[in-house]
Amino acid sequence: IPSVSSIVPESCLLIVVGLLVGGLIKGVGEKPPILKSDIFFLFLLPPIILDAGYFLPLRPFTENLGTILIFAVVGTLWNAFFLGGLMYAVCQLGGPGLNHIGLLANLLFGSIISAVDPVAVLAVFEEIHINELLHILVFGESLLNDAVTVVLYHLFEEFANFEQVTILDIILGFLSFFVVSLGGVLVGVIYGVIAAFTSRFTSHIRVIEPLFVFLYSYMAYLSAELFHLSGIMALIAAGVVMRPYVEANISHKSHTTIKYFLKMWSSVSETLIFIFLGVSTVAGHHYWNWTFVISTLFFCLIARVLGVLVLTWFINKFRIVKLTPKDQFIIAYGGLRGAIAFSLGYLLDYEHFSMRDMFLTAIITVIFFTVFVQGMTIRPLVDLLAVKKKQETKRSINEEIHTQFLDHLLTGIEDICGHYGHHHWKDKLNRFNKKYVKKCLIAGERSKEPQLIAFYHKMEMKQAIELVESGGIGKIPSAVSTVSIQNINPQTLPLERVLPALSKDKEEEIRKILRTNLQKTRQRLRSYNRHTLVADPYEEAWNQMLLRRQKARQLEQKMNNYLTVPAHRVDSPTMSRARIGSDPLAYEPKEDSENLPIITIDPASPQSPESVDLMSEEPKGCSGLPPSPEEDEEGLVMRVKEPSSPGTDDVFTPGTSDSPSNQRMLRCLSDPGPRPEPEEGEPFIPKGQ
Amino acid sequence: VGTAQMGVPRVPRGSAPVTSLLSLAVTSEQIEHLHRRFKQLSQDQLTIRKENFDSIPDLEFNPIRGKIVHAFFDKRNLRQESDGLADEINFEDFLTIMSYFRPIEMNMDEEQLDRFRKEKLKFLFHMYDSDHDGKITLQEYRNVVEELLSGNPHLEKESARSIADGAMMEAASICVGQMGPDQVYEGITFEDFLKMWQGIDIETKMHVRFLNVDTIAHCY
Repeated sequence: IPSVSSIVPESCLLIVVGLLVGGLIKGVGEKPPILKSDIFFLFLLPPIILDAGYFLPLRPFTENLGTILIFAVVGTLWNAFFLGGLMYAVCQLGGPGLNHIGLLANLLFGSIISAVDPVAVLAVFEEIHINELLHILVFGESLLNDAVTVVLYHLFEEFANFEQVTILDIILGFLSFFVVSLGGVLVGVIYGVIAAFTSRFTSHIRVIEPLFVFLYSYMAYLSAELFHLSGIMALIAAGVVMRPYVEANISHKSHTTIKYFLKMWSSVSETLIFIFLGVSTVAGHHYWNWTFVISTLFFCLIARVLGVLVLTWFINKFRIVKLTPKDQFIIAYGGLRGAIAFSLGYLLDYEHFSMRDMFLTAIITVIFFTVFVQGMTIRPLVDLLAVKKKQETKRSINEEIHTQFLDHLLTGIEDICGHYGHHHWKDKLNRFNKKYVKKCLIAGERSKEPQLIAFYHKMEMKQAIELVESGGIGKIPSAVSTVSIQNINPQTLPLERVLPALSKDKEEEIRKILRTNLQKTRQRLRSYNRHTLVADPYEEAWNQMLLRRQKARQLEQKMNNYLTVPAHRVDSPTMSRARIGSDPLAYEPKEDSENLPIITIDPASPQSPESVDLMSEEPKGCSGLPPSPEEDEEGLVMRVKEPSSPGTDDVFTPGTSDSPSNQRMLRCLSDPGPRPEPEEGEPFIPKGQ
Repeated sequence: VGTAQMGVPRVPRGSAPVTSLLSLAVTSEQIEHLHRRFKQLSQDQLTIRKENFDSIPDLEFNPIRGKIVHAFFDKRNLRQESDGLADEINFEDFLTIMSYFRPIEMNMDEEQLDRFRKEKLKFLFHMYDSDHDGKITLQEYRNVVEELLSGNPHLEKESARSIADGAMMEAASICVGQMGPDQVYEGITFEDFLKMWQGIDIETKMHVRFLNVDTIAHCY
């Protein structure tokens, strides 16, 4: 038996819940609340749009921008006029109840109902996991048609009160479209840049970084709405513009905070919107006119289908990846209406629009129809038509390299051909961005970081976090399974490699630290053995130790892959003392060996603005920063081989360990004899902070 | 590939017969345009040498310009049986290289699509594999990443290396899967390369748009 959630999309269920709640309230005798327009536009809509804009997948969006714009602008205009005109005809023929509705009122109605709603589209398309192209087409259209809706709505609302509409008014209306859309985008871009600039200086107040993102975006929205510009476009523009710079500046935690807050708010908003829709249906005054409602519904569908067909025929002339009829069907079918239409209808006042109730009824009917019928049936239809679904590809470093390579290659070919195609301009924009904009908006060293490096860092962080979260040892992330650096670069380290020279007291300090920690390790092992093992303690302990040694080796191999993962405890004083590498006096590597490079990479987390020197080679040596202390389990405090059998002091048995890192480690700990020192040294690694 | 038609192309006198151009599926307008460009680059000579590419100002900023120019002279791309580098190429060779970037056509069937895709990927493969041994070794891959990052002079070589190493390991795990500790992964062969590109639809990405202009307006 399929579960309810696999048949009915969430939005439908929420509307039903709203209906029930509204019915309940009404049944009790109270007056149920209606979704007031200013609550909707000021509080409920912005989080959803900001979430969509901030996490907009930019590459497919820009690649299909032409198509999206044509659907959004021309498609919506066509819908509005077609519907308005036809409804006017229906009204004239529809008998006494409808005759008084003028052309302009009908056009206004058309403009309200014709816009595809981003909230509804998001709600339904999220669940069907359709391929990226179709998703971005319908979704992008729903976002960008806001400008058209705003212009048309205000235009017709004004005109409905005029005695006469002159040509001049129409031309001005046409021009105002450009003002509204471009103005909205401009406002968004300005606020986005300001937000990015602000985030450059927030390195000391990390906790309120997310607040800047939210505040500036909301201000962009409000500012645009204030001047009757398109608030949605402003919000999208702000999110898109600020994101790359803000993400380069803020800490990892702030990034997580922003992501989860946005998702949370948008989720809550969406839920509330649909519930309110249901309640408002019950609560509102309705005026049901069969002719009007049914013809609205019918013509809406016709208009959408015709519009998509004609536009696709036109667009396919210019597209490389043509839109197949299947795609066209999904685009047409995915044109859902939602709460924006309802709120716009609600905004109409009674004085000028006496038929407001009838409009609202019709709007709600269309919304219900699209959300329920189309929303529920789109999933089986997608399966039936075998539309391509979203591919769950993990972004890999290989793909990134290839994509960048291809970009540069195509730009080069375009230059050779002498043809200034869109690769050329994209490349120019990137160069401009790198040269001027990034310097202004990104703090410190990150401004010069090329995209490949940034991507690589992000991926490493993600993998390291995954590794740690999965217990560190149990699950091996599938991407980097058992392939280690040995498999691709089997250079064996020369055995007679000389250790870099340390000053005497540095050596002494290292020795002391290591020794005390080893001591503790062994003590813990012993106590573990004594108290918990009942059967043959030595046998068990022996097996345990073998196991742990193997795990340690595995872990080490994995850690070797992540050459640049910074330790998270760079601030603790013990760490800075133990961080020998950053002390230029102590550690002078030999220049001859190719295997002793110095990596000076800024860690991905901007919390340590000074660069951390990791002395590293293949594989990672011992004196660098230890791996992240989260996997600080018993016995794994140091990457050291446990004693082969308890009681012996023979910690460093060279026989079994063949990995060069172990050999290196062995030579590091030049003084194996653990004389129990009376003094307590500081722990080399802070335990379990 | 029967959709390609063109009138008698105005090819410079003295060049090889252009019967092979019929297979390249470009129209005569495009050939004209390219020919004009060719003459511009070669300064009215019949052939182009590597030095002629230096006259393109925008190519300066391209981090992989070396590889791109090299690809024009790579005999494997010029569909010649021999190996190595040509010293100079004529217009026919120029067109051959350009044909790798033609866009996908609506009426291709599965087999044609597959060949189309393989051709483009082979071109890319030759660009990565600079020593022509049929494999992309770790050193060559490192070289690629270094070149990609060459626009940032202050960057250390080691970051490029670690990225290349990580990418190579990933490629190894995709192509070979589990590997024992003493197995060595020699390099990325063409089959492995195909595997790596499975997720990316190169037939739509790797094209230069102007080659699409007026495909509708075929002559006879």
